[in-house]
Amino acid sequence: MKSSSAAAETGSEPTVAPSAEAGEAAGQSAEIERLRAENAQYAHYIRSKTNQLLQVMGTQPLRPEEFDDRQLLSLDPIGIIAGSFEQVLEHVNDTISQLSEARDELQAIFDATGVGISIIDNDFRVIKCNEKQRELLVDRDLAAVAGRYCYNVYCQRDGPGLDCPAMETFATGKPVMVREVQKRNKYFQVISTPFARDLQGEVTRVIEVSLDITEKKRAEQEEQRQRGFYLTEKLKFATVLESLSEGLLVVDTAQRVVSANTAAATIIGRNKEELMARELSSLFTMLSASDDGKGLAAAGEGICNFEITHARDDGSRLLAVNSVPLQDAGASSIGRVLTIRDITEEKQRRETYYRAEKLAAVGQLSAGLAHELNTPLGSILGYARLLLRQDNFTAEQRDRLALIAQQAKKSNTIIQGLLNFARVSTPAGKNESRCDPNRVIGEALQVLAAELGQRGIEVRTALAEVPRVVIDAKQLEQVVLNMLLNSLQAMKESGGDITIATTARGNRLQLSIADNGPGIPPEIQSRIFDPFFTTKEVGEGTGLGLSICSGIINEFGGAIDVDSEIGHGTTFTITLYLEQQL
Amino acid sequence: MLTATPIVLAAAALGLGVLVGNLLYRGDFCMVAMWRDFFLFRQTTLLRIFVLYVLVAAFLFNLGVASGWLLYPPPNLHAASLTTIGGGLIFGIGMVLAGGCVLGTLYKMAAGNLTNGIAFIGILLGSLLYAEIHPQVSAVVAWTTLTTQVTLAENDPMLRGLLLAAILLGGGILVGRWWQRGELQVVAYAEGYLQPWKVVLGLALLNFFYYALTGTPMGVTTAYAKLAGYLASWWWPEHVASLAYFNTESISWRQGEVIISGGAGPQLDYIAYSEGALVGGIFLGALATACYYREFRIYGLPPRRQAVFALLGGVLLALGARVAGGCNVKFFLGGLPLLAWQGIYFTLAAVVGCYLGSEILRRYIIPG
Amino acid sequence: MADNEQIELDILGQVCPACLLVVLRTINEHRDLLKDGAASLVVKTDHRDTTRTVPESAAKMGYQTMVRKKGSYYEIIISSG
Repeated sequence: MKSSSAAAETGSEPTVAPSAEAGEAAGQSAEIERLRAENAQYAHYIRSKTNQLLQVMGTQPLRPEEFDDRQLLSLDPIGIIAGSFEQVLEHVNDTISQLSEARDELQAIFDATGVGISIIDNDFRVIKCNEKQRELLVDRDLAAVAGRYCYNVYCQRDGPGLDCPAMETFATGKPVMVREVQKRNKYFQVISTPFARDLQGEVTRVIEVSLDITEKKRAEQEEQRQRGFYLTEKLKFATVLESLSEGLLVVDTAQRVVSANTAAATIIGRNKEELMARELSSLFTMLSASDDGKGLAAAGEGICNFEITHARDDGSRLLAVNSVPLQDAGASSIGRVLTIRDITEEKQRRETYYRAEKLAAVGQLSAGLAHELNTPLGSILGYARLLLRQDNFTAEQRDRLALIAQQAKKSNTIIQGLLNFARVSTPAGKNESRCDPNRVIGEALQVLAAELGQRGIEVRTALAEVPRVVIDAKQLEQVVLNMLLNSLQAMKESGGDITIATTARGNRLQLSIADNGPGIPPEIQSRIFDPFFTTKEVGEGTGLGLSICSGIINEFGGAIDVDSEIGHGTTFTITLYLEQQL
Repeated sequence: MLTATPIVLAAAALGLGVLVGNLLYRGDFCMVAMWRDFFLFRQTTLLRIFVLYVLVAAFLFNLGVASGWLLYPPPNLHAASLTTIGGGLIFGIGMVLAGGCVLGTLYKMAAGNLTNGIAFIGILLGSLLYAEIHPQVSAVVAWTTLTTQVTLAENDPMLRGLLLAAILLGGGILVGRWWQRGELQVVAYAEGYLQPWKVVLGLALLNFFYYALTGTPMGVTTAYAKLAGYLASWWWPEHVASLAYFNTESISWRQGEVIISGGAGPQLDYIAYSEGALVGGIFLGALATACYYREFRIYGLPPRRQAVFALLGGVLLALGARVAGGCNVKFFLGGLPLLAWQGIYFTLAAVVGCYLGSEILRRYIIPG
Repeated sequence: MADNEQIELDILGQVCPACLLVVLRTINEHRDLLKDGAASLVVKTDHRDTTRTVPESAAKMGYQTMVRKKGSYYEIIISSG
């Protein structure tokens, strides 16, 4: 292409001149022919140059078959393309200045960035390394890093290690991140990214970016330590809560249980799981029903020893509840802590204790009083009887004397009762005494047989075969007699039946005496065992009977209970220990 | 060959032709530009695409041959002779002058390009011209046979297999690298444009189906000659009937009980049902695609000089194809992948012809 | 695109690469307006090849091109981008 055009250029000048001089007709036509050929060569030259230039511009050449030379020349193709080239050059220059600007920017970023950056070639030589990287990873004394092996300057090794991210990137062509590298007492996150590739697509250079994560790492460790501490504390606290014998419930502001210990579950009589997320009022039915919400459920501030009766599957229990409001760090309420104590037994013991105290005091008083009164009464009775033996009294006087004697005798009986009461209150080591309860009941019934028959009261017995019980026979007889007399008196107007039953319950005997009399009003049920409490007319009873019975039974470790309903009758239940069967 | 029923054969070939026409049009496919751009401007993108085609087709064809689906060697390929080379040279020159090969001419004409229409007329004229000199050429073919076998290592499956494996492996690595560098992609914005690599993959598949269907890889120029003979027989029926070329069966083989044969003569035969239907399909496919994209228009009426080149190019195309016994479709697209001697010689000669054509264009024809 | 001038170049019916040269010439003529972004060039062509050659050359010259199909022809919009 070139050679032909060169020939056309050099050949044209010398040949044109002589032919113009000649001016012959034959010569002229030859001349025209030659000029036409030359012209064609020029056209061809321009076409090929145009094509060449179009190629340089990255586009397709002219298609020879599609274009007429004259048309082509009239377009001034070289001129057009020269104009275009001017623009291409301008564009290239723009691009170059943009590139160099971008390079300067990049260099500035490279130097100023807070992460370490270095470029490493596939011989593991450092090609470039910014100040941060040098500061992070390189010894201060080392002057120049570029050109050295990265495993030398960064890792202080003699060859690349298997954990080297750059090595993996060279092998796989993919970015690799190593989360934690520990060097020089610091932690780093290292990411290597492929940067340049050769024609085969192999990675020839990687960029390695190191991020100092020491502080983050330290913070993480501290956080981990604190989390461990909190966990331990929490565990300790939970253990303490579990070990409490008191029940403990934590409720939120909506009165829902968020936490409960085992004791609480036991006291309430449900599973721990059942308690969770339940509303307080649904746990303690009494609470919501009887309190109208002004008690426990609504108590904003703390309440102390609030007593409630709680219905459990195995009976009703008396609970003491404490409540303390719970606040978060911002002093706003987040719920309450409730502690629950089952005080059923405690309450019972306390009541028994009070009664015993009272009895003891009455006993001492009575004993002294009885002693003092015994002697004067004895004198009154003795003298009354002496006077009765004389004949010089009128019948009327004798009657009065007899009344004196009779009343003195009655007083004496009362005093004897008092003395008896005082005696049973004094401990006398009668715990060795044993007796057959059925036989004692039989004797007592014989004593009262006439009285019972007179009043038309029928006595039924349901006596089980039981071992002997731990109690003195005389005293048990006294108790049974007292009970029966009570019932007789209760039914002296109405008449009725008495049922006496004995059963063995484990190591205890249960002796029940039931009548179908008028019953005891509920408000006085708790006081019937108190000394000197009586419902009889003044002078008819001492008010000591039941309290003496209670004293005797208590003395032998037993218990006496009353269950009564107005209009249906009363049942006394005596519980006593059975003799241990060996 | 799958079927010998003419109507089924023709319908299937027509269908494949429509698909080929669609592919060619959408990919602006040009086998002339492949070589010409390489010689004139060292532009190799299209040449790489051609390598991709040869590899894929070689894989498909030889797989088909090995599994027995394809006739081997196909009945339209023969032993190479000097005329293969001579024809290739003439064909190559003609390609450059006509501005398209036998396929390009066809589908561009279908889209309304008048220059290609003129070249197509040249092809028809060239075919008629050849019919006059057919006996002399046949004699030369017989004298100057170069090979005894139709394909390279025809009777040595082992050697063939090794050769193919080497070619596929080497070519595969090459193509893989080009692919990785994005050198098989062409940036284009035209509507419906298909990347050339997709076009050649499609072509390889369609050629494979055509081969399986008709028993031979695609060919088109015998159908052109047939069309020329048919048209000529309207005016000079006696003369056409007297010409040896239109009475010779260019292809004939026995398939089981049936003898399948056909030639350029203006009658309905195997050539009409296979090649003829294919040519019709390509024309229709390209036309339909151009219409679909609303790009069909009659355009490009060339200046007188260009029209003469186009006509002359068409004549040379037809002459070259007839002398060589086939065109670039048969030899580039079918012969090369099968390692046929004709394909190899024709390709080499056509490449040289292309070069010569460019030079002639440059030195003697453009200065009119 | 709304506030700038549109220079229209209609080369419908012409064949590439004549189109390419004509387009390049037009770009050269209006280079100042185009570079400033004061105008954009709208080329109408119905030749598929032009849609390939023009964007390639224009990109080399630092322009942005957008090709879109408008009915039976293509519109190539060349602007400073």
